[in-house]
Amino acid sequence: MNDADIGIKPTGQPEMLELARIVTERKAKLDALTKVYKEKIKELAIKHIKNDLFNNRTNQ
Amino acid sequence: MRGGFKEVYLESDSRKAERIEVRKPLFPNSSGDEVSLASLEKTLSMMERAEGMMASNPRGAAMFRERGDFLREEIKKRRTEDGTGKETSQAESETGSELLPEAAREASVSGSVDLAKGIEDVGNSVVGAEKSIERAGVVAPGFKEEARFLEKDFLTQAGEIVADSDQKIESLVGRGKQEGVSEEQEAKSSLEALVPAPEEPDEKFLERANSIVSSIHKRHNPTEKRNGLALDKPVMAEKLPQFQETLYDTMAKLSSRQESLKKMTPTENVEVYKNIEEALTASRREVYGAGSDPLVNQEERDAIIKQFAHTNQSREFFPNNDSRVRKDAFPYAQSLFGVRSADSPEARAFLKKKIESKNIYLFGGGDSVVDLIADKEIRARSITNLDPFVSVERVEKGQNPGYQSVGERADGKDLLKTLKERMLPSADEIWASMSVPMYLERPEDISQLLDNIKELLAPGGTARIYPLEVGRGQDFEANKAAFLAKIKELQESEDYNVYLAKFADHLTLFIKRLQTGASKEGAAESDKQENTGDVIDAEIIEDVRGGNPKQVTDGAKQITEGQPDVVDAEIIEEEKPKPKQITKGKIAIPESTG
Repeated sequence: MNDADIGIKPTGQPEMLELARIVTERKAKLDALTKVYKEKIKELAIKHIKNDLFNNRTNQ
Repeated sequence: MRGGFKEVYLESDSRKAERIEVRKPLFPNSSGDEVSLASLEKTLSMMERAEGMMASNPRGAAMFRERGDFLREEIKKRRTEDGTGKETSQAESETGSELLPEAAREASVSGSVDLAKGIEDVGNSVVGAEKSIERAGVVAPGFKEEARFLEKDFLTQAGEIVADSDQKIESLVGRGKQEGVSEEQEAKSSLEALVPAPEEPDEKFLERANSIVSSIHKRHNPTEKRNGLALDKPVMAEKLPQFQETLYDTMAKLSSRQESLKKMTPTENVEVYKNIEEALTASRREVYGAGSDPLVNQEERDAIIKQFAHTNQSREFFPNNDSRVRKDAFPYAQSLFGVRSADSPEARAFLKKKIESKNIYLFGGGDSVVDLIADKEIRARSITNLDPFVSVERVEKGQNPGYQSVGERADGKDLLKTLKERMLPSADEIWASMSVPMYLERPEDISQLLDNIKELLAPGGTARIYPLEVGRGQDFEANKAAFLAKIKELQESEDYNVYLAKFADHLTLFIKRLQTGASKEGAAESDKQENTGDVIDAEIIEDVRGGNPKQVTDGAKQITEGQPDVVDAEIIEEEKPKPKQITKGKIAIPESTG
């Protein structure tokens, strides 16, 4: 993602560019983390479903 | 002006008109629009939700609370501006350098919005997964609880990411100013201003101090992980040499101060109660139980001893470089006192102040604190381990005359009576590390434990319990309710304070018996005496003199078995005759049972 993508055009001001970089980096990290935890929750649900099915089968 | 900075073409006046007309947000939402008021309000509600979920983690909760406060301010500001049309008139006078602080503010707001989006996404995943489980016709009672923990993990990590970026942004704005107080001066003055308030418990001060030290370190080393850095760690002085003196001075202040605690206010009590309730609710430990009192039979006791043998029973007192960062391995000094390194003389001086000449009880102490018992410099007056389930204790412990092991349950109904018969003093310190009430299974045992703590504590004494959990037993809710009822009782009493601190990965609970009335006036003098808690009546001692109380060792081999009871001998030797009366500060045993 470049500056234009987030609404900033180059101005030559290093602080503004650095700000844009910080925001971009933060967004990428949050997105990645969210993805990881969504996956973990999915896996947790699958684990519980499998356990229950296994227990039912064993009991039968 | 907030938000919607238009374009950042600022070099020439000829662009100004265009800049005003082209309303392009600096940090837009996913559709490229300015973050709307509605979106900010939604973000605020997500922050409030996150704060609620982090109630058992005060630091995490504070992080979301601060973010919420910031958003409330932003929403208020925006509503005012929308009504005044202030935005346009300000825009005309903006230059690049003037934009930076506002841009930074906008960047912080957008961080909260992004964070809220993540929280919402993860929350929706949980709801979706629950629906899937329901559709599959499956019974998954533990899912919700485990998912909640995942959500909390997410909140912690996501919050850290946004906090990191906020710090970078702050630092950037600071650089842009090129004036005012330097970071170094600012950090140093915040450390110098770090003086414990007169009524602030040492532990709360340490918790606050460690948080400030960590944030200063982070400001100076933004890319480095904090990794448990704290005021008392010599490594901090190495990392921040410019603050070396201040760091040690602050720790030294703590060592030399005398706490002057007053009864906590009802508002403070409500907050603590709420946090305790949240922490208990969130605890989900699947623990081995300690059975009930009395145990049914010897087989049951043997089974429990065998179970506990699989747990870590040999935690040390002092932190060292080898201390594993495992939930059940936090050294006592860290989890109960907030000291993460005892390498500096200042940290040792603080621990010495807390321990020297005190009568200490370990509740379910297992085979722990051997290093403290062997320490030549920091000497407690006595250390008594109440643990009916310890399978073996290291021989070094028995070599210390101040140590003894008593095979009694901390939640035993007759505990106080037994201690009285054994001529043991009331407690200046009670330490429960990974033991009770975590392993207790029944509400009545939990209630009894807290009654025992209340009665056993000497004025000025402190009980430290880590982690703040109750056993699940058959009815977790009943256990929780029993614990909370006793906490309320303590809070309503004029003689006790209850407070929390976070020094390890869970909360530590402190129950402090206050110095009251005449005993308070005499506190300073009493502190100079070598023993503040030894209040056994001379006459009671006389009654049992000559009898060497038996070690209770049912089912457990205890190394101290058969050794002379040196603590008792010392008490007898030193105790001068006193009038017979049971007053506050003695082991208060109801007349009917005494």
